[in-house]
Amino acid sequence: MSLSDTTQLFLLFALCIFFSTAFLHLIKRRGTLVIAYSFQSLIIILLLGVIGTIEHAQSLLVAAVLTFVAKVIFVPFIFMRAIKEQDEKMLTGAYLNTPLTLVAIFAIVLLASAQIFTPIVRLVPYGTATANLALASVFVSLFLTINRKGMVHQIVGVLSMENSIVVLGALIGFENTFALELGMTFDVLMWTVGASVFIALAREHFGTLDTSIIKDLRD
Amino acid sequence: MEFILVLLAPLIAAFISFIARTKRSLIIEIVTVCATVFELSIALLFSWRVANDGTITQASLLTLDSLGALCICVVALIGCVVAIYSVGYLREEMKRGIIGMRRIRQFYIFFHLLLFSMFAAILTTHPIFIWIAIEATTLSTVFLISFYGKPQSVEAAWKFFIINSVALLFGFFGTLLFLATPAVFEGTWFFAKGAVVDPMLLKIAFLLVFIGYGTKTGFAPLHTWLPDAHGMAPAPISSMLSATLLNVSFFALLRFKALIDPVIGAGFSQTLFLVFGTASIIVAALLIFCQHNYKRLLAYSSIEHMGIMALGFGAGGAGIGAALLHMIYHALTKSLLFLSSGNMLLKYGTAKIVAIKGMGAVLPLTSVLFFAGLLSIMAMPPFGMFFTEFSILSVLIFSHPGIAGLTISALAFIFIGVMKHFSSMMSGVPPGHVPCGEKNGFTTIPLFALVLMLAVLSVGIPPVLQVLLSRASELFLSL
Repeated sequence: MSLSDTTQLFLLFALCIFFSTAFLHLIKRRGTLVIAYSFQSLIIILLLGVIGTIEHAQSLLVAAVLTFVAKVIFVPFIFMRAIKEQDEKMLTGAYLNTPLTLVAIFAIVLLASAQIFTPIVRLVPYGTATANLALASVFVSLFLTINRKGMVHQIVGVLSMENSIVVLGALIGFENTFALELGMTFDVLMWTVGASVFIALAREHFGTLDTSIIKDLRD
Repeated sequence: MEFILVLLAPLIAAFISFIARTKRSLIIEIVTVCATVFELSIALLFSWRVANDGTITQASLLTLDSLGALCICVVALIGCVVAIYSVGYLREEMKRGIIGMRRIRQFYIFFHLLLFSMFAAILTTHPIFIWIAIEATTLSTVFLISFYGKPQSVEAAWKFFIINSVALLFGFFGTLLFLATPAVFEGTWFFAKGAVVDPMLLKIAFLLVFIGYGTKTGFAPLHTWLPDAHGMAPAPISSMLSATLLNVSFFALLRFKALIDPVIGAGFSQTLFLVFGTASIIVAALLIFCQHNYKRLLAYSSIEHMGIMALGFGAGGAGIGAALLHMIYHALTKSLLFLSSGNMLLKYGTAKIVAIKGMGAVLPLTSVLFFAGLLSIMAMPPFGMFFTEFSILSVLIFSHPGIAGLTISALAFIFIGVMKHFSSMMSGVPPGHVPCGEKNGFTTIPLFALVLMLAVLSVGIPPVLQVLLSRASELFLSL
């Protein structure tokens, strides 16, 4: 595969990841959100597999397998169990409405293209646009955690941010040992279990998953 | 191989706590105290070896240098004291029906897992392993914060969980960027002579790492989780959070500082430490003054002292050694204060300052020890904190007089605020339903031990500790 083809392919992947991240902002139902997250993870697994094959990086292939087990099978399973049917009726909103959210996402894309991030963009050998989109995905995921009031949306925002950082790391050419990959995957799994416990606790104590009403502790 | 013992001990203790299905907590308590005493012994032994022979590296990824030795001793020591205190504290809560045996088991399991993850963060020098270990501290702590299962505890734990998770992702991002540089790993990370590194990339990486670990350290304005978590966690856990977890996060930050400073100069990291340090002290001063809850007051005091340590590293020179020594004094003092607050909570059943009246009559011993702790935390002579704060401010007055002036004003404000609250708690007539007298030996002897250690270390520093302090300072001074 020529360099130009590879660059085009990775740009396509970066676009898919960016749009899947931006799409998370538009989803209201929690179940759909978790499925969308799995879809985003699936794109990342494909990307890791492709980079691993092109660069002959076995660690990335291992990462792809571990990511599949963790993020496509385990994480959705845990969250689908944690989200009960009645939760779906208690839909939570966002601090910004949909048009303003889209404007904010546009502003974030512009921010990710700013001069200050040039040292990061330069690390990615597959073109500036690919790097900018991957960086924008990190910020758009962070924005999901900040903008949405729902606990599940915030949790998925954090997981999506982690996905986006992994993508950027893979595009930079960062490789881990098997032990580190295993450690990071284990960490994501434990984090997911912890997050699902919080979903149950919040439902039990507050009767809602809307974090905007949980504000007893103030000075 | 011996490092594995330090990591295995808390894991085994957690496992025993998990499988012990007894109706009494005695077995778990014995295992907990024995494990923490063992960890402390090993930590002291290793630190002595580091002081004599220099850095020890085992299994390529595990390294203990002088900075790590200081940190591991603090964690193991506070862990041991808190373990002994927890026996009395949890027994008392169980007697009152506040918690049951299931909660006690849960407490000890997560307590040991917290110790394990902190030891792992200190003993490894690989940035990704440090990140995994620090993330593990979040996961082990979060269920200790929501321990009582009340809505407010769940809220505090959720804030802690989500804020620290997002922040640590920034730390992860910074770590990845750092690993994209041509740094090499030989027991520890360093840049080979002549390595071409983009200084701007290193600055961005350090800034991200600073946001990540700085949030966990509790620097203002990234501190919002801290007062809630410290305020809602059981007193022994508040003590662990303040005296050990904040230090371990600070330690992780210092690892990166030691690495990037030789390449881009110390100016960048010093500026960050100065800005966040000053902000932390000012925010803490304002909120301590108008505080209504004594546990939250102590939490804001932790933010203040993390700020003071940051100023020491920001000032450089003699400030660095003083900041490291300040870390030890703060750990001892803050655990003393939080454990004393546990006694107050057991007695009065509330953390509201306004509800605490006639403390001197109700808890005579705890009151004296609490007052000693307050004097120490406000850097009154002859306590060691006076000398460390004095040293840091002496350096700052010459290098950054404006910041020194602001800090001195804030410290004076904090002094007035703390004394105002303490005098309110000591004065007045105790509420009728509160019986006089201390609870039990487990909840008073650890406080005595802490005051004794504080007094001894304020009078003179043992030669081994001096060696460790000077070598740890050299890590930053030789840059």
